[in-house]
Amino acid sequence: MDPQWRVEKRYHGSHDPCPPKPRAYIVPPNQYVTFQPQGIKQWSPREAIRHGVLWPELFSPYAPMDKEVRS
Amino acid sequence: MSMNERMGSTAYERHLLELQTVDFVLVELTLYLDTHPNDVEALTQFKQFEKRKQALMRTIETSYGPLQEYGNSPTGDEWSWSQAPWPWQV
Amino acid sequence: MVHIWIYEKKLQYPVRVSRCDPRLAKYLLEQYGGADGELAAALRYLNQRYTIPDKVIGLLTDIGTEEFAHLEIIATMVYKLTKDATPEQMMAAGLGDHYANHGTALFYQNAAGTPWTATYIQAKGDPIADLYEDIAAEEKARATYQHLIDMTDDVDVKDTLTFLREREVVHAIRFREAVELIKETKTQKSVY
Repeated sequence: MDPQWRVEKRYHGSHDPCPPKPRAYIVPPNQYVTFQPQGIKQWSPREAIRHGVLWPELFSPYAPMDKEVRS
Repeated sequence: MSMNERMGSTAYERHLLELQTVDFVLVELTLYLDTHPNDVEALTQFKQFEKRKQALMRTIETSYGPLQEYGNSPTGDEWSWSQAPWPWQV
Repeated sequence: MVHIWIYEKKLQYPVRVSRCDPRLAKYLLEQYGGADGELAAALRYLNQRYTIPDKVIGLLTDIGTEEFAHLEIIATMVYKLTKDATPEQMMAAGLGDHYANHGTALFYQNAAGTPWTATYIQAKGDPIADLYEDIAAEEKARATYQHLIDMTDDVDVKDTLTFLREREVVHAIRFREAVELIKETKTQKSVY
């Protein structure tokens, strides 16, 4: 699982019919960059457009949590 | 399948992808320079990519017609701006 | 140079869809005419420019303009997912109400069919209030893209949605930097 994910167990009441599943949310790197420093590493143009960002440090991968938690 | 294989089945699509790739760097640097106007290195890089974009645009426009209008792209001998394909039709 | 928005005959990111899928198109409308969609984003930022401090007008202009590029990417996906769909396919996908009013035309509404409204966006003329609204808007749009990615197995659509999601992450950084720039102005003044 990518380290940007936070996962916590939720209280599961005895009258909650759906099978219990952890609560999960992603905290993207933008929460830790107050002001982007100059000259940080860049991806090549091709890698950049593929990731949607020029700087790897600002990249937030996303794959549906559900499958990862259950596997 | 790589992005290139998936997105570039025709010569036109391959040219477009090349332009989209260069333009993406320009978009990123534009937003970055808006908050970092004194980053000389980023400004130099922007100017380099500006040149690459201009060169790529001329290449594409020679084969496929104008990318922009209002006098920003060469018109050519006939009015081809209004011809398909439009971006969502490609 | 003419003072006008320049339309470029190309998308910001190449769009492919794997199959005709009007149901997925219906869900994507959330980012077309929804509260946290691309139209709302573009109009929110461009409108806030007139009262925001000068040093961040450029950023609002450029992010607002990029949002229009994203709007066309969403439109392209909806167009391709519904092109040549039959009325039966539209009805089966839950787009019967849509078809009755609009046929296969696009319309600025959310996934539930509620038309776009200016009440989705805000302008307070207070730079901190406006920029925090913008940061929140980017995070809400990111969350929406995550929901959409969760709901589809179309790898081509997923690829485009992943690109758009990351743009929200980057925009949020820039807006946070804009807040820092505005804070700094005050610090500099207090030096004198």
